Amino acid sequence: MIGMNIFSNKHIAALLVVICLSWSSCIEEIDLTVPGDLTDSLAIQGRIEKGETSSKVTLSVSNVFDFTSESRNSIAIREAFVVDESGTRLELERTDVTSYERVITDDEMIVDYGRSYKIELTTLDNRSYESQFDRLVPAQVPGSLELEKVNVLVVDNLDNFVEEERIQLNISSDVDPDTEGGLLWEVEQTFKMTDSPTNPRIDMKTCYITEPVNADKVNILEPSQLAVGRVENYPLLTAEVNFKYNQGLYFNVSQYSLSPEAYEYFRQLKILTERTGNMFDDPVGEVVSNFYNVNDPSDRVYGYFFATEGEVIRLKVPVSITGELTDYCPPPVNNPRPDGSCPYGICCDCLAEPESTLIIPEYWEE
Amino acid sequence: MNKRLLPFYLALLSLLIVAEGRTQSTDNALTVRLQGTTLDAVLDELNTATQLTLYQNVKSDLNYSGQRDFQQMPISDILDQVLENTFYSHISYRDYGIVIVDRTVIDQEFSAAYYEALGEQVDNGEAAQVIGDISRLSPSGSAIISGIITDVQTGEPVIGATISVEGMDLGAVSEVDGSYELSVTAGTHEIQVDFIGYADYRALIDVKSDGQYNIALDKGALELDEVTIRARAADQSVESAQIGVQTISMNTIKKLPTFMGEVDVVKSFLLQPGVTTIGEGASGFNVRGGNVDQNLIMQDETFIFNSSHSLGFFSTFNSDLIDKVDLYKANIPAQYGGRLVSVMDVEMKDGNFEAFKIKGGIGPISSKLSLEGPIIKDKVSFIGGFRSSYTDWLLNSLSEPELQKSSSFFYDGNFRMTIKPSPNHSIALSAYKSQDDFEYNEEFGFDYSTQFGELSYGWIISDNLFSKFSAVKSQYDSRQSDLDGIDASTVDTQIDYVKLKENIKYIPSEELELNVGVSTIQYDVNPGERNPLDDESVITTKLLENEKGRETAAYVNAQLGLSEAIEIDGGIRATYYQYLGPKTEYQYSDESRPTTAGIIGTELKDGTIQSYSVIEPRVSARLKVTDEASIKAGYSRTSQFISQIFNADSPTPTSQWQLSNRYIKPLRSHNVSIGYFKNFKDNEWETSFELYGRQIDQLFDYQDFADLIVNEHIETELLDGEGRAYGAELSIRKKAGKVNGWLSYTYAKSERQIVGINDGEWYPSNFDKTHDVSLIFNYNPNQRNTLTANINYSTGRPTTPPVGNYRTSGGLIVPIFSDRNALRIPDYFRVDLSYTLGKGYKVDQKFQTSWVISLYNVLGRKNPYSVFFTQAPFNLVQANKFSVLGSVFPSITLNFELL
Repeated sequence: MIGMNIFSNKHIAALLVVICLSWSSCIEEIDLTVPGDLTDSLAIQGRIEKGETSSKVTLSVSNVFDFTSESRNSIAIREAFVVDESGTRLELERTDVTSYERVITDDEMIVDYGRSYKIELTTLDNRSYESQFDRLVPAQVPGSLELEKVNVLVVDNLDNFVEEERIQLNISSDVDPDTEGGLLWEVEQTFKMTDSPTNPRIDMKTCYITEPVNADKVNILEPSQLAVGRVENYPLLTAEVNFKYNQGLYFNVSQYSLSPEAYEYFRQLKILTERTGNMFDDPVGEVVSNFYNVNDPSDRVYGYFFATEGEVIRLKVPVSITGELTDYCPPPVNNPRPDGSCPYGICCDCLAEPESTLIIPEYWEE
Repeated sequence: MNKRLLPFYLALLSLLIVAEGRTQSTDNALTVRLQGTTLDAVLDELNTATQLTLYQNVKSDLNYSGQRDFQQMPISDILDQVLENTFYSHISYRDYGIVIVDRTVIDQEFSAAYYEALGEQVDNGEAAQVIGDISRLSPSGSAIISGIITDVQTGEPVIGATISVEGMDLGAVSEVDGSYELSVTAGTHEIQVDFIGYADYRALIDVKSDGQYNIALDKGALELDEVTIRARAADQSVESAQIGVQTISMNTIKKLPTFMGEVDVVKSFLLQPGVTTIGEGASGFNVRGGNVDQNLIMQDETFIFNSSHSLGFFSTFNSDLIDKVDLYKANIPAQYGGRLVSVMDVEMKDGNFEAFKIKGGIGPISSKLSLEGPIIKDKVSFIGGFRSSYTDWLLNSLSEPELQKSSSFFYDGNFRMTIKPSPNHSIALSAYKSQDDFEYNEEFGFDYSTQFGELSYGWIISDNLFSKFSAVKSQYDSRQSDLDGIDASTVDTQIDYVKLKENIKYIPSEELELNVGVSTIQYDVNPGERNPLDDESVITTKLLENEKGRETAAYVNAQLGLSEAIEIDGGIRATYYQYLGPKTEYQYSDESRPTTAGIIGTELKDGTIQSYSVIEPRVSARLKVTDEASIKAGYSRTSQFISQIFNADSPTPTSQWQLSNRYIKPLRSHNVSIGYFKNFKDNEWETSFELYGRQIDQLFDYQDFADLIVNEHIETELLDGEGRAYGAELSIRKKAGKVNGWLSYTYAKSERQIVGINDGEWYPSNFDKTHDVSLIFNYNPNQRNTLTANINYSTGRPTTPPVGNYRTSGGLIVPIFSDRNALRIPDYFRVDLSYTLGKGYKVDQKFQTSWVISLYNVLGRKNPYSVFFTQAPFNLVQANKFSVLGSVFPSITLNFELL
């Protein structure tokens, strides 16, 4: 599996859906009660990312959400460690309710290609979990990003097909076909936003807000399946131009290396995200996890821990793509609601947004 | 007097008898003036004047020059004078009928049988087929009927058919030229003609004297509206020893409501008990809980690997060329092998040896044309048919630009030539080709084709020994293309085979028929080849080694009538299967559970890499408990050495076929069934209740997220296990009358137990439907008009729903699913209507037309094909149903025939 849309059954689904919609609506929401009892199951996710001077381990633990409010309870961990193949154990530090991390220097633990790492953790109710070791493979240097305008077919509120313009972000890169494992691309966007608080006593400020985009798409590539040592114009995302582009927006693409086992995990995620429910769909299944309960093999654990190295490449969306845009704030009508709250939150206080900062990113160019 | 008036006279006689209350007498005086110039004309006048009935068969060219005026003279005296100088005389029958016969006959002594026949002649109001004429009946009262038994489609003589007379210990067997001779007493009899492979033939005959009676046997089921003499409904369902055989006449199939006007032989069987599909547009069908690739679909002796056009919406069979279709869903006779669950045996027609005929049909998305006739009269005939679609107008008429740039096209063509160099030898040469081209918005496409040639040679060695040899060469190719983007590429698969088969039929007695044969099939499979579409594609070429296999079988099957009540149809099939090299075989650290991680090396092997020998007993028995009821039971062992690899709900045209090898064992199953069959009202009503069970002791399923495309070690994606299916089927069928049709109900379970799935617990298969009901209602106010309604309900099939989720650090919501197939999608319900305006009544009309108007899914119900789940606010999921057809589909089809 190369990781791209090769012979996606989604194509067939598209045709069937389009034909159906042409004659009458064929997709409808229905009420269906689903079974389930996953309240005790955990989802554990982590990665160790090699850096130039230091490496960083991140870990998050949560209950699996089983569509009940009880499962939203957070999980408290007694302790969590990153362990390398030589037995070095380093404890992770808690950063918020469910997240842990640690920046590792070489004198604490050697993080290098070919070496393997794992996670060990214990919950407050003394359940002990471990991941399998995952081996670090080197990253490949990403090539370049490119934007283009594309027309896509969307269904409007009246079930009519209409064409709309989108921008598409593509990556081109040299890839060594002999590389084992695969590549994972994660895309974030950082946009500039100057707010206009309704309270005149609060000063306006300019924020730089970073957020993941296209989170429901898994972009992976298996180099060994390539005919040539290069991938050209691999489409990473298709997006609609909105207010976030008004003062400038950067796409930040991280290209991560994956071991063969980690690549299989993301391949399975990709299959699930591309299902549409048609007759030729790949069937669903339980995504592999490399975590397990040390004392109770019947305890189902979800999530994955992997070792990786990432390289980041960026592209600012040019005016030639978006056209001339004016500032989003203040909006035409920005009167406070009766309760005093701001109707356009981001214009009232841009710093309140997650991952928002007033510090201009070092790569930012006006 | 013309003999064609005979039935008229009989009918008239009956009417007169009723009208007159039998008050007339041959002694009554009559005044009449006769004006005719011939004897038969004069007798006609007399017949009109007397209000009696004169039955006569007088030559029409005899001049009459006798007395003209009769005044108050008894009728018998008038007849004496009229017939005075002729060879004829007359006798009275009771007090209301007169028979004109040869004087030579009259002078003899008449037997009781003679008078009985005469009485039947006069009294019988039923329109039985009349043989001979009463004036020539011998005084002994017995008559010899003779004739030729032929195949109704080909005109070929049928050798060895048994003709018998109900209620009498009389019978005869047709000779090499199809002729027979039977001595019976005069009168009305029901005759029955039986011959294997042909529908049961029954008819009322009214024997007047020696005479000719030719019989044309139909290989298909009786087509009620085409029976020209009164034929009672066949009691095949009660009489046959085979259990679980389903036959629908082509006439019935053509009147069923259709999707877009396409008569679909395969889909028609979905209305039978035990036959289901996972949804509209799905390829193939499921029989008694079996997978779609576990059905053997045969066109004559050729296996069809993909019987669907347009990804599954239509079947590849041209209905105009089909002679007969049988579905063996329980106990497969030993002559068939290689599939686990069922055999759909589609027999194609031979061309007409006597005259040319053109047939065709024009529908909304396709048209068809067929031509048949003699090349050398009575020696060589041909039949050819072609069908092609034209769906582009439909796609172009839609407003979506993507669809306007799409195309869907298919065609299929059949040709068959039959040669009869002598009465004992026949040779048939057949060729078939079908093609599907499907492309969406210049983005992706499917192309697939089937082509084969078949030679069969039939030899009548003696009156009771027959040989049939057949040779087949077949090829199925498929291509899936991704036409757009950097990953533009193609994946090709192919399966070729050569098949040789010899079958010897021996009928040593009326009670025993033996079929003995051998067959061998050599497979050559290309499991997958991926190529970049152009230079810009980054896809690397990947070519899997071809796989070869040989399946050799010998069998013997006997139909044995132990008594009037008990008949056994049983046999045994022995199969030797070889997986052949050269082939690179993967070696695994654990051979019982091949995994990618467990690969320890490869080895190039040649010759027979792996072989399997299986013995498959097959037996079915019938115990007739009354004339109209029987109990049947059957057991069979079946094996399958080639399976289709797909883990979606339905196979795609490119889903590869996989031969059994060292790691992928043949599928094997035990099949049992028992049933009670009861007919009512002279076989007009046919009912049956069957119970069945199947234990599949070797089966595989797929591990989660199996990678099945161009995978050189496909065995690492499969998981071994077993399966079981069981259920009950009820069928009630009214076969004749203005209102006819059938009701079928199926209760079924189909389950699997696979190590590695659902913790090794039993789980329902994808096509497990607990309840399935079909009601077909036909209203035939007359032979020409038919209104058909079809109502279908079934339980929703299983699906695997999400039961939770978690979010990755990148924000991706990862669903967690339940045990496999833990939930069911909503139930299915569909109503279809069709109206058929049949051919005109004028049988000698050269050009005839008929129309079929269909409303498919008349309620416009959006039946769910599947259910899928999407993310909803607050991290919840929303269930969505996907319906392939979401509205009513009207269609109109014109069929025509040029004789």
